[in-house]
Amino acid sequence: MTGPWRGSALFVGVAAVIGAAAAARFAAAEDAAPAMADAPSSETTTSGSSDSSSPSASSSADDTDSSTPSSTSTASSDDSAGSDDTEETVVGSTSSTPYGSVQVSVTFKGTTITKVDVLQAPNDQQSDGATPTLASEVVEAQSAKVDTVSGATYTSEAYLESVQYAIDHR
Amino acid sequence: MTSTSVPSNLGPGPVPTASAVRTASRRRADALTGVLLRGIVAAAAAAAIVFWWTTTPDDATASAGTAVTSVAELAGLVLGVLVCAQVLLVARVPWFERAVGLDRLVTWHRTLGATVLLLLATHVVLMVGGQSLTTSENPWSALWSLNRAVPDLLWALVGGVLFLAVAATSARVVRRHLPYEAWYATHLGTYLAIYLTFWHQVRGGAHLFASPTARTLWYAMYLATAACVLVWRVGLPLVRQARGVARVERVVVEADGVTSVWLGGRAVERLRAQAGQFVLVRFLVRGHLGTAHPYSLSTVPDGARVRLTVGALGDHSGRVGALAPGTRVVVEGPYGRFTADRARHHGVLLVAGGAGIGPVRAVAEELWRRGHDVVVLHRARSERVLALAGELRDVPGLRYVPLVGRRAELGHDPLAAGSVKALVPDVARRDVFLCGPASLCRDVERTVRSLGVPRSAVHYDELSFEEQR
Amino acid sequence: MRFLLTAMALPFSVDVPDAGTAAAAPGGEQVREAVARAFAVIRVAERRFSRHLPDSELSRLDRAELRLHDASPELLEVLTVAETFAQASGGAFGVERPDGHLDLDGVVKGWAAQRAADALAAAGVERFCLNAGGDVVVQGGRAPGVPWQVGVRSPWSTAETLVVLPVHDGAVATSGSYERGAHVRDARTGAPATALVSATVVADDLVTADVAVTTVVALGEDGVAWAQDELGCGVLALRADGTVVRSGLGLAHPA
Repeated sequence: MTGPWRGSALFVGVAAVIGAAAAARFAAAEDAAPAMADAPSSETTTSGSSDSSSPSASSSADDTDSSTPSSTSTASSDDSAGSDDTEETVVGSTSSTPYGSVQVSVTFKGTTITKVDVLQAPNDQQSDGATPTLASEVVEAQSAKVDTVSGATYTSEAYLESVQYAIDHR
Repeated sequence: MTSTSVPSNLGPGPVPTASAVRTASRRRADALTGVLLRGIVAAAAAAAIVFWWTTTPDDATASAGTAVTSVAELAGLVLGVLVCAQVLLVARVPWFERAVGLDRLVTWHRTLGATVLLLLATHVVLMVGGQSLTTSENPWSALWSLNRAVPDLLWALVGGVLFLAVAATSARVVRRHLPYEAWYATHLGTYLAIYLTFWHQVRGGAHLFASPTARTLWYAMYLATAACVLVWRVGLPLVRQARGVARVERVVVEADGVTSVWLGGRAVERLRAQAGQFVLVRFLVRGHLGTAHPYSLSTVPDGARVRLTVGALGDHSGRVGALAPGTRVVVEGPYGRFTADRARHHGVLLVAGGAGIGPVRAVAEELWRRGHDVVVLHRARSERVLALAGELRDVPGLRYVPLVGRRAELGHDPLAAGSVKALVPDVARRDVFLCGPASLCRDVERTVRSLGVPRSAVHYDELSFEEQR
Repeated sequence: MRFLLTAMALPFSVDVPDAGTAAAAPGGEQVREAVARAFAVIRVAERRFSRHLPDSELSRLDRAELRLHDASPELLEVLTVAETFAQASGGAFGVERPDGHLDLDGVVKGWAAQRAADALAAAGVERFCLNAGGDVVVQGGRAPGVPWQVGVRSPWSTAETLVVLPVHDGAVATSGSYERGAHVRDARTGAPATALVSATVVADDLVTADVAVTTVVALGEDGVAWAQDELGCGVLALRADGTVVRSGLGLAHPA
């Protein structure tokens, strides 16, 4: 006859399979990439003070969230040394920035930021849909001389070959 | 015991009936289908795991939070596959019905249901936990963050709650106290729950989001399942209904609490049922309209009419006696594998308890006609309950043994091992058919197994009679 | 006059037209001083926000050696900007790495460049074009009434310009997978964003443009409408098959 615990037993089996698969996959992942390097992309440094600075990338050039949406307001540190767990919220004074007024309220537990709330933010609603002033007429072919080039951040070599380099060094 | 004269189909001598006789090879094919069906489900789940493996980035192990989330996603993928399987099991796909049998399919559905529920809980807990760990939030806050980031998550949560309600009402302890209609209505919520949770999978599921191929397959899987339900669970019955219903011909009170209902009509003629099978019956009259009940056939179907014998087990069955002749009935089926085909030995023993005498009587007759050596043990608490007994007495070659009386009065259990062995010394060499209340069947199975009957020789309809309300 | 600085491993170039040569233009000395101030801003930002410098403010905050109490207004500002855009982009933009460390690179370059541009403007330079490793901030036009011609680099060739956008008082940021691979991930799902091989955003300021363009690449084609609706930016995006999606821009002339 049907045992009443067959469903639970089947679940335990399924869970075991899932657990085993996950463990195996993570073990393989650890072997593949022990410590994710900072700049795997080839970049010989030009005279700069730091090795690499990732381009306008969301959150990182290499290791990224696998799937968790990042709550950007937490500056979590793995070894938040014995911090007292009192929660404190600090409300900053309104400061004028070049792009508007900013007022921030930051909540942290010990030394870890748990929340940043924006009370006043610049450019909250650009709902007037205004785009920066652009010349709307088609530029004559003769005067379509490029003054500067916008591109994804160059690697050093690419920069050397780029139009921007030529412009910068004329 | 007043037994009104019931036209008996018991004719002289063993005669092969018109029922189809399955050959041993067909039996093997059926067994294979059962294995195949479960194998396909397992394979689909395995495919989900493989897919997860190949689409998980190596940096998933970067932190505890991302790892936990990754496992949560794996659980979610497997869950999605199993939910489809769960629906398919009871979509009334004829191939499955014929090979595996509705009774077994329902059992598997119950088992898988518990698994699915637990897996759902796991998925949700791990997902929230992973988010919590990654951003050091408390669970509520984590849930809110997830809601911000995952499309359609709010609907999925509603769907999850619906799943929970369906599972809760299906738990044995709860279901016993619930009217059938309430349980059924809640259970229909499963479809809605699946719809609500589907979208956060394809639009917000990290792995599905990244792979259009996988997304397409996911859509295909769900659409195919939906199609099966629409065709075989909804469409075909509607078509059959349109083509003709059956009618109640006669209602006969057999004994205390046991009523027989004779059905006739075109739908019955088309049934082609075997002795021992059951049908789903919906009486088209107020008070019975909402439910399709499983009732066993208590005669060997002769093509013109069938007889259902119903015990007063539930709110509906008790009122069956009040049905008027001419009442229209929707009959679906036949289902079940409690049939004479399963007997492999020459000798057979059938044990009936209470209303289980209905199908037992039919199978006993069929087996007798096929030339088996038939012994029927009929357990009843009082003489008045020995319904249909008259049909089985005095049949040459068929031994009918009524076991009447409460255990307390008798001083012993007439179905204990010693008694059974005394009544049927060669029980170990017989096929044993059981039909009756679940507790009786369980006990008798244990008894005959202890007397040497192998598991494969014990047959019962897994839809316990507690279901026949 | 043309000035060049390398910081954050990027070339920063400033072009001030007619400096010291035309009557309405600032004198050469004044311009030199202004540019020096602007470059200082960039260097300070690098010191503050580089995650590669162990004693940068960011690294110290990351290691919990610094309390947000004591953080500089600039750091708070950058965090605020990041959070604002995280919300605006529905989570596609984020500054936290999976290993829990803060990574503000995506915000800082544009923020520093914009601040430098502001410093230039504050110092009296009315017309200039600042290019920070591919991010462009312009003030005024190349000549009175003549907009700056900002070329958009072709994803398929470093030496080719795909299209030229006339820009006056604004910022242009471009992101794509052609330099460093599909480094942009949709932070909601973790999947690399590959629908667009390149996107360019024109906005009022560089911070908005920078973060917007990253989000556009992360969101794929949906991002184009998003950027226009949510932020009022003009967007030009290139699909992998080479076709162009654009919205909110003036007419651009292929070079």
